[in-house]
Amino acid sequence: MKNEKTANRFFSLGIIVIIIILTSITGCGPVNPKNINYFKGSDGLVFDFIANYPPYEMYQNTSVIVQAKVHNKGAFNLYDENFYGLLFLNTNKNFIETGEEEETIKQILLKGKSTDFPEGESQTYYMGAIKSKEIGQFESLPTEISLTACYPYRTYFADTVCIDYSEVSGDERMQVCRTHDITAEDQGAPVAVKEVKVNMIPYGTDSSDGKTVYKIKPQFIITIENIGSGNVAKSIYKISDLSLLPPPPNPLSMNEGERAENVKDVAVIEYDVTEICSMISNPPEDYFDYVLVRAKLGNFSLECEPQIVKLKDNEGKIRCSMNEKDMFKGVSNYNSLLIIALDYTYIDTVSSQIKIIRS
Amino acid sequence: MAGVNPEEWKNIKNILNRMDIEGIGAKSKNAMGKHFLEQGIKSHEEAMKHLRSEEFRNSQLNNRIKNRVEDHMEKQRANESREQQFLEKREAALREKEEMRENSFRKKIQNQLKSAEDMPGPLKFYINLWSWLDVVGDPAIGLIPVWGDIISFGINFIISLFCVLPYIGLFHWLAVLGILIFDLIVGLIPGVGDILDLIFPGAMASRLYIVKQWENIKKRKQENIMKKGYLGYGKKRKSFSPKNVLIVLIILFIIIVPFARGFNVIAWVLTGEYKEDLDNFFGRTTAESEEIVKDTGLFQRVIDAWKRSWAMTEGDYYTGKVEDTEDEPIGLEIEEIRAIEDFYTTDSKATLWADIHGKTFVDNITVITTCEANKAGKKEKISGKTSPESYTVVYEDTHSVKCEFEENSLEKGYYNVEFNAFFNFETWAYIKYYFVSRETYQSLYYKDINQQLDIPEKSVSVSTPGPVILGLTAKNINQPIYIDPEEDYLPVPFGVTLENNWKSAGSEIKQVDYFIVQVPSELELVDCDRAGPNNEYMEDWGNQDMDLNRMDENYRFYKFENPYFGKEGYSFSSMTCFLKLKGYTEEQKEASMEKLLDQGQKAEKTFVVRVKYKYNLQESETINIKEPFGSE
Repeated sequence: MKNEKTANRFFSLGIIVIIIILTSITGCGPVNPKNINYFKGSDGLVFDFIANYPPYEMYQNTSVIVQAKVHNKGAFNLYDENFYGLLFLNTNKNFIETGEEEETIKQILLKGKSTDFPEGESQTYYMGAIKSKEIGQFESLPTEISLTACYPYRTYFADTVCIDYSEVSGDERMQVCRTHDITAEDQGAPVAVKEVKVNMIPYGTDSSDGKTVYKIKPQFIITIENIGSGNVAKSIYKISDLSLLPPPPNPLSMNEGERAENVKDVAVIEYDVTEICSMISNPPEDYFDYVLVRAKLGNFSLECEPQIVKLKDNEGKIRCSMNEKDMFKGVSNYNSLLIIALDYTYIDTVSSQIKIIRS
Repeated sequence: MAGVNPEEWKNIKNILNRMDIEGIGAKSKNAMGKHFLEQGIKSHEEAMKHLRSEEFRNSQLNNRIKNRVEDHMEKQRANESREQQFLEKREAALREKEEMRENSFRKKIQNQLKSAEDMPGPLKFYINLWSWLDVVGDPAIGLIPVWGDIISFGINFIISLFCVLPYIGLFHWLAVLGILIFDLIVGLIPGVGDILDLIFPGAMASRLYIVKQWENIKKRKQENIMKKGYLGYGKKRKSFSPKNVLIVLIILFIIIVPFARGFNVIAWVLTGEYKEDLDNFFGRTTAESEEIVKDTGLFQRVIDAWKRSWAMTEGDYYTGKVEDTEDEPIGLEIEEIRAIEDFYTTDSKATLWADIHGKTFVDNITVITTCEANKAGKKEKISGKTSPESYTVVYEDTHSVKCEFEENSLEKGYYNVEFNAFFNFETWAYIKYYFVSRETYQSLYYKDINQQLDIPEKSVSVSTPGPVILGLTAKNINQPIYIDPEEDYLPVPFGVTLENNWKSAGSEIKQVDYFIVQVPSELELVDCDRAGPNNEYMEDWGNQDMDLNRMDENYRFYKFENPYFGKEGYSFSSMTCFLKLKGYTEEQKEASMEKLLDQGQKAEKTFVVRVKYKYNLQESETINIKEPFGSE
């Protein structure tokens, strides 16, 4: 009997030891790093008032503090003197007084989603104190307080495109790839490339080197859309000097250093962010819904028509193709990288109601 | 028979067999057959005709045959006569039976409707649709209070407009409409309308009328065919002539507008206020009831509702709501009127007491009290003596006021005693308007600017509680409002309408002293319809509120005085002005716009209006005056 009890104890102990060993083995095994695509989502800057700053109710002739939390949930960095955001606090001045301009307008410098900041950077901003005024003989008076963010942003789209000679060569044998249209959802920014229609225009053959090669000129019909909650406005780039714009860098290979290089675009920047954002209240005619489009196929810059597209019902279409001189010459199909960059200013507003109570 | 066509002879034999004349043998039949052949008779009908003729009697045939034939014909005539009588009797019996079977009104109509089968498609559709609705729909719909009858009328009206008017002509269509309106009015009386719907629905009556008219039209058509030998109505119907269309539109407008835009008359019924009025209505003589109806403002309310609906249609009526507050009511309230006795005699004093509760808003309230007795059925009013005649409410209190009628001042009868409390008061109201630049408006309008910029589609003004509501926005003004420095005026005007909020009979705004309008300092009021030809009734105070003696840089203050102040019979309850950006040059206006929008895509701005006025609060109580005991 005693032996049986001892055997049972040993059996239980053995089971526990086995579980511990198995757990240790599986838990300490090599973990494969996940390859995260940061170019996902439809957000740029996401912002709102912090709860109770301001509160929903306040008495007349009293002051409360306003704070806002801003989060760069997109995949573009707002981090230097050319690319930064602005956050404005607006109130109904008839009933709410705000502090000085330094308090009610804040510069936003936040990095977007990347390996360094997988969720994107976020920060809380103090927007100053607001003071309610007298509301006369009313028991209470609701009024609005709002935050407006204005920031330059860029959408990167990158995908492989098949350079397909089949149509010219008539070669129906198995190839590495075939041309097909691309559809996409979002790219980590409020304006997205939704569709790319690929067309390989045949340009005949070339036998000048004694060997017959086929000539094609790829053409892309690109559909873009404002999928965010705000409004698109024209970019900070100088429109008259579009030819000086460099082709978009490859976002997939960009590290921190390359991102800094990216700022060489400064050569053609026309507007300061503050300048372009100050046009919000009284915008010129060519302000809203304009997006600058640049595209690159392999090492070739593409010519886009129009290069600055005006969105209609939040949607726009652009045709990008290689210029007259450039064309692809070859025999066999292969994949090449298509990069599209969309530049624009994005404006978004959030509002909150405050009830001013007389006493 | 020699020399005779066998076929012809066979036919003659068949004719003779069919005649079956008694007492004639084969020989006689042959003789008759021969005679028929000579006469060229080929059918039974021809033979019978011939046997009745003189020609047969004078023929060479044997007299015996002739006599037999004569007897046969006589018998046949008698048989035919009996048969005719029998048929007539049977038809009469059937008719009587049918009439008895179809003696109900509904059956009669259903029967009538059968004659509608040759009607044109739309007319037949109307008749058939309502035949079905009669059984299931109309009485059931009619059970929904008020709305049921209105829905029923509305459907009937619209369908009849398109399906009936073109076929029976305007005059008859108007008659149909008259029946339907009668049905609607009766239907609005709870209970009565439902019973009537079951016995005699208006839709059915209208159909009966249509069928009658259609029969008349058919008859006229037949007459035309007979008289003139052509098919048609004789005179072409012009139901859709411009004149007729205009008449129909006017009718539509008169009927639909008050219901569609205001529904105030219906609201009056639905809220049950009419019950209170009707309680007084029953149990009195017609003259007394009429007076009471007049006194309780029954008709006035209906007229007011019409006026309001009309003004809303015109777009110069501004609406609003009252602020939610826990401390209502503000102003005066007659809490209770008490007659100290169940009845009074002509030789005694008639005394009543009223408890008047008062709560001030801005200024102290000065109350002047009066009371009057009005005998039912008579116009003249007898003044009583109130005590106190006037008093002041400092913050909040309840005063008891006595009303006395001297001995022998009131004759025998029922009197409606009206307590009046005349007092000064003030109401404030605010409204929020949302402004955007024209470019923002144009760029975002088709992307749902309200949703994009988080702006409500409509803005409603809010008034402080009291006897008056200030409406500051017309129903058709949508938010946001765009501003453009290049334009002279903003696209929407700014207006104020004063509306009586306390609906009890006799309670009314007696006189408006003045309005004070506060507009955001970046805007100006111009071209106001009540400012006078030289703006003599409008004072621009700039940023100084001279009424409350304060400065406010964010507002511009205007005072509008009543041009008819102190004059009886004039109304000053509404005013409208254009809004413009402050400044004269485009640069100045642009600067105003930038200040107004304050670096934002949109700007919420508040307009405040205050009005000072005199109000008369009235409540009434009925008393009974009798002759002294023993004098009757």
